Amino acid sequence: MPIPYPRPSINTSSIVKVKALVAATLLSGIFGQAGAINLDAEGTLTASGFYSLTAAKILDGATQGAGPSWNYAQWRCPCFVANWATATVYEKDKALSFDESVVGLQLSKEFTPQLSFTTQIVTRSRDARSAQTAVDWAYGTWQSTDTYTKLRAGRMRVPLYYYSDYLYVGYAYPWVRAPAESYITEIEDYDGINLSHAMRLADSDWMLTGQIWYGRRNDQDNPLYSRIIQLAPTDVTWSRINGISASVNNGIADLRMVLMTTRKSMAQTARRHPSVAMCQFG
Amino acid sequence: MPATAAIAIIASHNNPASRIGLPVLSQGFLGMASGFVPIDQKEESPIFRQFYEKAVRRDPREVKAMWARMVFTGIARPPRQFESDEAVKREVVANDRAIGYIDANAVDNSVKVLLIIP
Repeated sequence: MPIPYPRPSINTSSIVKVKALVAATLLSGIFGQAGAINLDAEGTLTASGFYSLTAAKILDGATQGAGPSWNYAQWRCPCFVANWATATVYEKDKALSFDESVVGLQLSKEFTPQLSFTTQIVTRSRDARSAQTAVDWAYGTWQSTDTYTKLRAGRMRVPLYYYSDYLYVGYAYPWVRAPAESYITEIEDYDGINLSHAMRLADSDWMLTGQIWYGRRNDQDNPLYSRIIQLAPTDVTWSRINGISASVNNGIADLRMVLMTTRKSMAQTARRHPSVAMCQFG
Repeated sequence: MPATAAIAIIASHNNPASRIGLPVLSQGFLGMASGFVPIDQKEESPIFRQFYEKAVRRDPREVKAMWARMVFTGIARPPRQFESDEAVKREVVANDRAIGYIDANAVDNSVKVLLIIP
C-alpha cells in the first residue's frame, strides 16, 4: 500500500455542532532516524525525532439547531474536540489554530546489543495541562540475540489500536490524525512491562508477532475529565492493564487482533487548590 | 554504477541461509521481525533508491515513514548505513546474521550471494 504525502482532510464529524472542519499538516518530518545524530564516539547514544506543523479551522457549524454561540467550560462553541487525551478543542470563532502541532525528541542508549534504554519527550503545541512537554516513553529493553524476543519495562504508550502507540508521529501515517472517534482514550501511556515475540509461520512469508503487556497508570489532572467531562481537577487511574495482541504480516498485508482489559477509577482532588498548598506550609 | 546494474543480496558464508525471497527481504529492511540484521547503504547513494524500488518496492519516503513507526515505538532500530559496497561486504563478513545489498559486479569470494535482483 503506497503511503501518500500528508494531505488536507475534510472532517464532517458526527458531533453535530460542527459541520465542517478543515485541517492540514503543513509540514511533517523526522530527523536523525538512521543514527545520523550520534552523541558519543561509539555511536551507542543516538538522538532522533519527529515534528509536524498542523493548521486547522472550523469553517461552518451551528449550535444545536440554529441558536447563537454558547460557552462550554473554557470554550466558545460551536466547537470540535480534535484530541480527547490532551483536550485539544477547536472553536469556530477562533482564527487558524496550530494546536495539534508536535515535536518529539527520542534519545536512545545502547549498552550492549541486547540491552538499551530509550526515552521520548513530546512537546505539544496545545495541552490542557500546565506542562506542554511530556515523557511519552522511558523504558529499558532487553532483546534476544536473534531479535525475536523483546522485553521492555518502564513507561510506554498503550498499543491499543493500530496507530495508538505512534499517534503523534504524524510522518508515519498518511493522515493529519487518526480519527478521534475511534482513538478516544483518556490515558495513552502506562507504566509496566511488555513482552513481544515473533516467529515465522512454517517456512512461509508470514511472520506472527505476539505481544503481552501489564501495567498501570495514574494520571493526575487528566485533561479529558478535568477540562471536558467533570470540569474539576480529576485524577484518573487505569490499574491492572492486561493486554494481548497478535499480528501477522507478509511484508504486504498486516492483520492485527488485540484484547485489553483495565480497571478504571477516578478521584477529584483539591491538591492544586491554593489554600491547600498554604495549609501545608502553615 | 549504471542504472541497469544488478543488485546482489549478500551474507556471510557462516549464515545458514542459502537464498532469500523478496517478501522476507522486505520484512527485514522495513523493520519487521525477520531474523536477520539489515545492512543499508547511504541514503544519498543511487543503489539505495534502486534497492528499495526493485526489491522492497517502495519509494524512499514510504520506507522512512515505515521506519519512523518502528523507531518511535521501540520495535526496531534503523539499519546502520555504510558508505560503499566494500564497507557493506566487510560488515556482512563480520556479522553472521547480517544481510546487505551491493552492486552485483562488486561480489567476490568473501561473501555468499543469496539473491540477484536484475
